[in-house]
Amino acid sequence: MSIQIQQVSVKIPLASPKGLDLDAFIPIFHEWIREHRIDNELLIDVADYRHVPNGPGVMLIANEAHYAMDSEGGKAGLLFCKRRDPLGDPEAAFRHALGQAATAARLIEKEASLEGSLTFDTSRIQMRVLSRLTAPNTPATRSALEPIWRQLLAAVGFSGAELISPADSRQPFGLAVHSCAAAPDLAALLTAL
Amino acid sequence: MSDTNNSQTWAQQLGDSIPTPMADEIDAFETNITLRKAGKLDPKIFAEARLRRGAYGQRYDNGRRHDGSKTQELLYPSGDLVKGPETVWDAPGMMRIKSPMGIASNVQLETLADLAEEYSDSILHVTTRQEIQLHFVHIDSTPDIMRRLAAVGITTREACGNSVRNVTACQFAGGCSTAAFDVTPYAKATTYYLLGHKDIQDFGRKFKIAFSGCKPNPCGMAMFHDIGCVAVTKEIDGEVKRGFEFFVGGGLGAVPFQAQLLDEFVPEHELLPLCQAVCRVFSRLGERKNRARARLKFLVKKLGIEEFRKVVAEERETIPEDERWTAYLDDVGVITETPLREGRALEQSAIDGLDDLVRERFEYWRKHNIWQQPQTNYVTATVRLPLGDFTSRQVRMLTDITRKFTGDTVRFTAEQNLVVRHVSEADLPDFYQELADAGLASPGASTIADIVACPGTDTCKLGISASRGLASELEKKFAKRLYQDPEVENLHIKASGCFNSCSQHHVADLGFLGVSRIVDGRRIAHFQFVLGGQWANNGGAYGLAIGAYPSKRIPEVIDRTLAFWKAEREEGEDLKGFVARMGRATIKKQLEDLRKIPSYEEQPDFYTDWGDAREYTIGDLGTGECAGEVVSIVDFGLQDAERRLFEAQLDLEGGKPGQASVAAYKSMLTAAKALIMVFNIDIQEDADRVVADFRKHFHETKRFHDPFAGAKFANYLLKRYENPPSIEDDGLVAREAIDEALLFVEAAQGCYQRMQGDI
Repeated sequence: MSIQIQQVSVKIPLASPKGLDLDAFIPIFHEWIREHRIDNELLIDVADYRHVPNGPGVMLIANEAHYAMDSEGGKAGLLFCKRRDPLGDPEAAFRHALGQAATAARLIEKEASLEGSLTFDTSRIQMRVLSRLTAPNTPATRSALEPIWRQLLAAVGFSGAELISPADSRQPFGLAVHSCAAAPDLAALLTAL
Repeated sequence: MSDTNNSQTWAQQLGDSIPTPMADEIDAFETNITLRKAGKLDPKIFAEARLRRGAYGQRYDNGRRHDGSKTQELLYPSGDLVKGPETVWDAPGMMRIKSPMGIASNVQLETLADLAEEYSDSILHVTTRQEIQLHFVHIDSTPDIMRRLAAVGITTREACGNSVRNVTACQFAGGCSTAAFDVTPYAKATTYYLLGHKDIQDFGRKFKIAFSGCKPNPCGMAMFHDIGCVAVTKEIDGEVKRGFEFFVGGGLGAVPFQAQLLDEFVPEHELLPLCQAVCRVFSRLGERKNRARARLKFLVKKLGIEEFRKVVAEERETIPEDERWTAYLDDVGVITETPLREGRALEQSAIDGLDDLVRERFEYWRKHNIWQQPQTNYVTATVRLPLGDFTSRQVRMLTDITRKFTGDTVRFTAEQNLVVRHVSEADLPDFYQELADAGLASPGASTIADIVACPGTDTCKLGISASRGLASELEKKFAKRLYQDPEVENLHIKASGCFNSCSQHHVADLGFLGVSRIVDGRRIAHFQFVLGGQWANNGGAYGLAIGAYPSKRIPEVIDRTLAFWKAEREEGEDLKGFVARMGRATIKKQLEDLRKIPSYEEQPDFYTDWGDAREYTIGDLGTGECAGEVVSIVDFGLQDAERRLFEAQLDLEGGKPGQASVAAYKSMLTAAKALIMVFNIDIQEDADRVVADFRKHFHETKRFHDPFAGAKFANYLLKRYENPPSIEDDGLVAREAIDEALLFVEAAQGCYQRMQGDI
């Protein structure tokens, strides 16, 4: 039986977190809601977690997902998290999460009020499967899902990617690109998807 | 793929790890979900069912959201399906998770972290009732959440709804030198005796119970609960016996009541039957139709404490004996929470060995975040959680720390923090460093920087102003200042987004509750400033509102108030004493200019609330000149009502409760008259006429009805009209009259705003 998963998240780190001003994201995300900037999402609200150290910063809440300028582990980046979706094919779930994260990151790069101060580093992209029922953080899950993720990365322009997985089994299963020979920029990534 | 579980559900995977009764309850709830989706269960019934399972509504779940310029429809995919009146099925909601006495084991914490990560936004929010809330949760996810919690011994049953809510207790219980004894086993026994008990299934409103180990400290807050138990001992026949001072009828909410003493010494074996008797009386005699008067405090007031005591005693005699009343007492002396490591003293040399910057931070953290336990060389450390929030990742780092240093010793607190108990003093520098690495070493626990805030406009459907946004701003402000200003350190700030006082603002030194005002056709977020409350003595005194100030001016309001206090106070005079001596009128005068609003053109950010980029008002009133004139007359009248209300407060403060009561009533009549002017400009200042017109134009038409509280506030006026205040009224009556008048006048403001098409 082939594996089915749900609740995939993708984080695209900032190339340089020095330019990150979380305050700016309150009006930006409100504008995204007002102007329905993200396709396929019912955008609902902005959650302000700037007070949480190394937390999710400012979050754009959608009905079935959320987007955050997240600093978990001290690594700032755009995080996309699917909170709710039916069980499905991993390749499709990865592709969707990658696409949504890249779309939001690209919108940020092009955000006029930020004046180009933020760019993203796709070469350190991280993927997690939050659902512990479908994908517990075990070697078996890695065996099942890593080839699918690798294949997708290769298809969208990554080459020579070295992937690492969180050692702490309490964390969700995930694969982060530790190093790679080549990675597409956001525009190329979106085109390839 | 042998150990992935693609073919399984959580129910199957968890199997026997969920106790059968809990599994059955959750299955039944899941069936209710199915029935509701099929249209075979009434939305109102389903709403109460989900509330009793802890699944609560959240802001924007009515399918509408104002984006700063207009209201947008949120087209949830579920269409017309609802999970309660005006509550769209697919809209994200809140899950409230009980943790009796705030206790959480490491495994439980890690489960909460998993759930926050998978179904919520990776944030665990600690409430003022020592529970955890997860936000943005879908109703379809809730049965699995409940199952995973049940598998680690947590229930969400009766976390919301008309039931006995999470039983709270002081977080230092069992590790406190001022406590008569450890109340934990008694609170625990009460929790599980009443949980799901048949006698608590038919309440008209919610019911809250708190335990405190002593009288002077605030941790247990017994004085503002439906039942408040304070541990005491008494020598009987030469033997020291344990028991409780037993208080009833306390509560905050819109109209705060101090609890009254039912019995000065309830022996431990009588605790559970007496709680049960009170619950049965509440169930039998409590108000049902009028939710605004349905809490126990109103029943105690209606009957009087003497009659209530008599009725409870009679009820007690009718209850069949239950072996659970005393079975737990055999285990009361058994220590269930043992330190992991040997208690050793902290040597100065260990502190001296720290890096200079680390030492300075450690010492400051230790000053406020450490509670000395009576057990030699052990302390309880408070982990301050800004606005009560921490992440799933932080939870896992915390459990690594507690597994290393203390074991299962975490408790959530009413100040939205958590404590780690039984830390060996010698371990403190390492313990601190590991907390700091996890971002969990914020100093200043229980100081002015440790601000309590309800969810407010962030996620609560009832929020009027951004209490969390304000608190966040104030935290930043006072965190910087703490090092320089020790005099203000020990004050408490609490901010509520509306009158429901979920932040417990009545017992803060500086309390705030969200309101709004219209100025020049634009709505502006405000906070009523509540002064004179007391956090000590289990929440021993309630403050009174001094006036409404623009949200963006609140930092200045605080600065000005504190500066005035510091300049004018007598030696050793605390803020509460200062307020009482100076009088609110004097303090209000100091703040008068802060009520002014800059024009929109001068300062547009004044017209947004903290942490929100949207304009607070719609600003599209489109009123003509004629209406504009009426507006100004109405505004004037409402302002006059506020003035009369303030005078009532001064009368009460000045020891003239009868005059205060009469003035409070007049302020309601004035506000009502102001509104009537929209329809009848010639309305006279005659109570009969005003009330008759108010009924006709506002009550019968439901125009005055609050979107959430219904006729509650209108009834305050109608009730006073039927039973007019008297110059003979005592302080309790006057206090209630003022609180009701405050809400009525606020409701009049809200009504007027709605009439202008600005909802």
